[in-house]
Amino acid sequence: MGSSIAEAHNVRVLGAGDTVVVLGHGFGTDQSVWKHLIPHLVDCYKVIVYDHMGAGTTNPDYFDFDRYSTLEGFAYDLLAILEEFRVHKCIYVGHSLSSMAGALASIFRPDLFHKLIMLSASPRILEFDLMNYEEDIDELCGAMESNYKSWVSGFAPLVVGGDMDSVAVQEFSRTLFNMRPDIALSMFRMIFTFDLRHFLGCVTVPCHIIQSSKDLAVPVAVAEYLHQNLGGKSIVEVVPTEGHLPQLSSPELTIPVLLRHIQHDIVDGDC
Amino acid sequence: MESLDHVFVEFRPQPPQLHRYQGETEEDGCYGDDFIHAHSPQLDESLDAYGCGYAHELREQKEVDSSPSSLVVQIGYSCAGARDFDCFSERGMVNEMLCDKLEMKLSTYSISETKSETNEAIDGDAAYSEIGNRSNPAIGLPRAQDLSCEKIVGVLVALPQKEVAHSFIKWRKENYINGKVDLVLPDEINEKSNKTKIEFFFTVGVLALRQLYFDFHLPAWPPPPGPPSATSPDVILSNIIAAVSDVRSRNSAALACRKWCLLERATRAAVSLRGNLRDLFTVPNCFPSVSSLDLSLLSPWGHPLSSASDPALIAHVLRHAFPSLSSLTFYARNLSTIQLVASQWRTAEHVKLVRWHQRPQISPPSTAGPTTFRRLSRQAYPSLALNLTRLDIEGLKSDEIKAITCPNLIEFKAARRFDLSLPLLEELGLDICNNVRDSGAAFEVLNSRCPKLRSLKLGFFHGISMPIESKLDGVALCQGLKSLSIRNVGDLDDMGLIGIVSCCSNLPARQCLKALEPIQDRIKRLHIDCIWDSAQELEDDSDGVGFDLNCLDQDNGFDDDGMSKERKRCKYSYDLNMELDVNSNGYGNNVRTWDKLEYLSLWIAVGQLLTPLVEAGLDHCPNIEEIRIKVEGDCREMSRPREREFGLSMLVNYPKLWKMHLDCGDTIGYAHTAPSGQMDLSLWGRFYLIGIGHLNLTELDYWPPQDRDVNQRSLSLPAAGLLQECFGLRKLFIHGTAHEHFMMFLLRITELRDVQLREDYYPAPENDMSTEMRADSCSRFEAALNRRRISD
Repeated sequence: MGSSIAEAHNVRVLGAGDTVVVLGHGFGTDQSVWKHLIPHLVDCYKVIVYDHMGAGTTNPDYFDFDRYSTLEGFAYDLLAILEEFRVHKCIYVGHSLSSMAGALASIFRPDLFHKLIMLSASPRILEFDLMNYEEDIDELCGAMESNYKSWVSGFAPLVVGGDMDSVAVQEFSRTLFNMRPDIALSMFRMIFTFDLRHFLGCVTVPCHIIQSSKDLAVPVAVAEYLHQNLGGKSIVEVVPTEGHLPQLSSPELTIPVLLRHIQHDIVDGDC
Repeated sequence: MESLDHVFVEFRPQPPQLHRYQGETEEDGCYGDDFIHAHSPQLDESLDAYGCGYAHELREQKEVDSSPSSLVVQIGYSCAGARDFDCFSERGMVNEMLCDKLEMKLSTYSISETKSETNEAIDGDAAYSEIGNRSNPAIGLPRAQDLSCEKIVGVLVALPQKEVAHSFIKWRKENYINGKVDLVLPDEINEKSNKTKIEFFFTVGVLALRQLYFDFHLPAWPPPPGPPSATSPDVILSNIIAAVSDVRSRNSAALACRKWCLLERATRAAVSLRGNLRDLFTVPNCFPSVSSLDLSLLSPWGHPLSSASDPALIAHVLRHAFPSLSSLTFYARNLSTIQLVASQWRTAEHVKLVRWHQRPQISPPSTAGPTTFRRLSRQAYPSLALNLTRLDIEGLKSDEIKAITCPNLIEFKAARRFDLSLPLLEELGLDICNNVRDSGAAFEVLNSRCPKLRSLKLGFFHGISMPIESKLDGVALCQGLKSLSIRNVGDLDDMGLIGIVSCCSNLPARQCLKALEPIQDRIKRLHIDCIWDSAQELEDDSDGVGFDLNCLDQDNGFDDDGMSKERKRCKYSYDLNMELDVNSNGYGNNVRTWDKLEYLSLWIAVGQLLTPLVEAGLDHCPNIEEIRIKVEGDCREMSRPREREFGLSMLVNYPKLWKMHLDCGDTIGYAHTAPSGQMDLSLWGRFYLIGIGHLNLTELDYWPPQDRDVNQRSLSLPAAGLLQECFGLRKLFIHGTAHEHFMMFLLRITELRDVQLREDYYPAPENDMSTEMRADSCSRFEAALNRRRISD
């Protein structure tokens, strides 16, 4: 049943063009984060958008706790969608953790990716972003656990990410609290364990790293780290925006940058 | 009989009237255009035109088409009852025990509105025969063995004609061996209102339905004509059931026995379908007479008919189930739905296209100039001045007016343009010891010319506030006033004062309530702005001084933003209308309570707490059943509140409260991460909903707060968690979107039967993919909801 993948991921194919652009949203959001970008693409590109499994917009029953205990599960999903829609080459735009899932997928199948565009990406979220907030992380763990327990026992889960003092942790936890508590807990563990730093060298397709100048969840230093350690060509552009979802919160600044990177490839002099 | 539970199904009958769907659906926040066309070709044209965006022209055409001759088919009752999915019980006391016996599956489909065909109301004889033809001649009052209830204890029938009483007596003897049938003859009925009472007493096993009480009147009750059948119970019953407009009552009647069920089906004229679009092929076909069908409330809410997997099949099934449609209501945002419908119902005469996402109405600027004064003299001739006793002028500049000297002038009217334009004027006293009539418009101009006016003292001015329904005028529009003193005003009535007071957005609630003390035991409906006094004022204002319009300058935090005031005026101007019950005892009670208060509407600024409400005077309200709370403001300007909760728990003081509108839709904040020190919307949602589980609510409408930047109004995790604690909730409408797993929390509410996400706001989400709720998610939730056993 081919269409089950499309249905499970709420895949939409829009626009027409020879080049395929695939948009992967970050965790805790869904494909609607691309709503400002899509209208600019549909005239020239074939655009594929989808929801990650475990996003609030997907059927929680489809969430396989084993498969998605590592980032590979999400990378495999991406490859499955590309195969389902017979995409032989694409430009992949990934936001946040999805850009890492895309990077992983490109290690498995570099032939499928013309280039990766990474928005607010980080290969090891805790190491870089949240190491200064150990207390907050502990509190967040407690909140996750208590929410999970209360969810199981039928009491209201009332602790949410916004309770944390650190804005970075708030942003990070938002991704988790938008999911069903058991899924969120699983995701939480996955995020704690995933570490792509040692695999960055294996990423050979060109990478465009786009980064908010003020993103408390992913500091600019991370973009530089990616640039230094990726195995292929890469380029960094820092956009003067705030927040972790610049494509949603500051589309007027972010969308042109994204479009430019989609339309133009890195030339050797750039990197 | 003492042990019986009593269930009252009260009708608020209205005289036959033009069936204006617009009016009744507005209650649900639905806005639509009426299209009335005699022939289908015109309909097609109009539908095409609608698709092309010419709706406004058609609306004008409607006025032309609505000539009396074309109205016949649209005469009907407007249903005063709620558009209820829960079609059996008014307060959840009557149960749905007989649901199984119905052929239709109420869990999937329910009939939420009905309008009885009442052609007979216009033309007694003709309609009478029509009813007779339509109903099965064999249908009549039920025989005991036909009744699905075990034993009928008694029937109380009140009839407007003595002649038919004998039929009932006979019928009683035949069918009710141990029962009791009481007849109330016309003399005992309030003939003036043409009221007819019918009471049916049932005992149905051990279940809850004990007594059903109908109280309605039959307009244009057909006089008993010659044929004996005219006075038979069959026809009477047919007429009675045809006249019942309340959907729950109709369903109750249909449950009495098979024959009644058939009779009810045969006379059902209008149906509103709920349930999911994808299940439409199971639509009941037991309503062959339905002429008016409403498809606009199908789930997923706000999805057009054309989004079904096989729209043509659905349309065909619907046409098969409702063959005699003449009026159709559906949701449409594009042409395909309209084409689909037009292809199936070519005979439709009345089509209503629902647009849920109405742009907010931008209020016209205050253009109410001194039109009332454009009557008289263009020029004032000084030579006449000596003899003048009445002067009514317009268009003179102030220095010209100053030149007028009329020693005998008694009445002076000047359409003052306030050309002096005193932008700095803050205080104005006008007491000329002569009567000034129709002065309202002048104060509107004054307000526009003197924006800083804070204090106004008037004497002998009349017509300063003469609101027409919700449209305010005159001094009520002087938004900047902090102090208003009115002396010797001859024509200021209750509504005028209400108009003024309702615009006083900064009136401390406590003082407002104090002002209402003399009539508080007569007020049924009350709106109040929750402007809390400072603590100091609470302390020193305990001497019971009455409400004084001169003392209004105590409040702080006055807002100079004229725009927001203007908006607010339009929004709330209609709110403070009380319904006074003239039968009450009135004065004389030392301990005043809000005994009559049934409906309370509150406006409260974001971040303010509800808790002072009791302290402010709304402490003893034993009969409040419904409350509407509107929270408005920008959270982004606020730091984290000190209190953890808004204070809904204090509403447990109102023991009869069962229905709530909690509207945070105009509360604006950050859907995503908030800056440091502020709260995002999930926390604001939690702030407002904490404690809602303590209230014994049956119905809830909840508007989540919104983030305008990302066009998101979403149910947050804490909101879902808190809503699931409302154990008695039966009906929940969320005016926003929600993730599927948040919705699944709600399944823990065992009583919950009717849930819908309604994106009835502007701008609507662009499409299914730009919300948190996919159509599939919605269907899975509804399936889970309908799978549950209904405990009662």
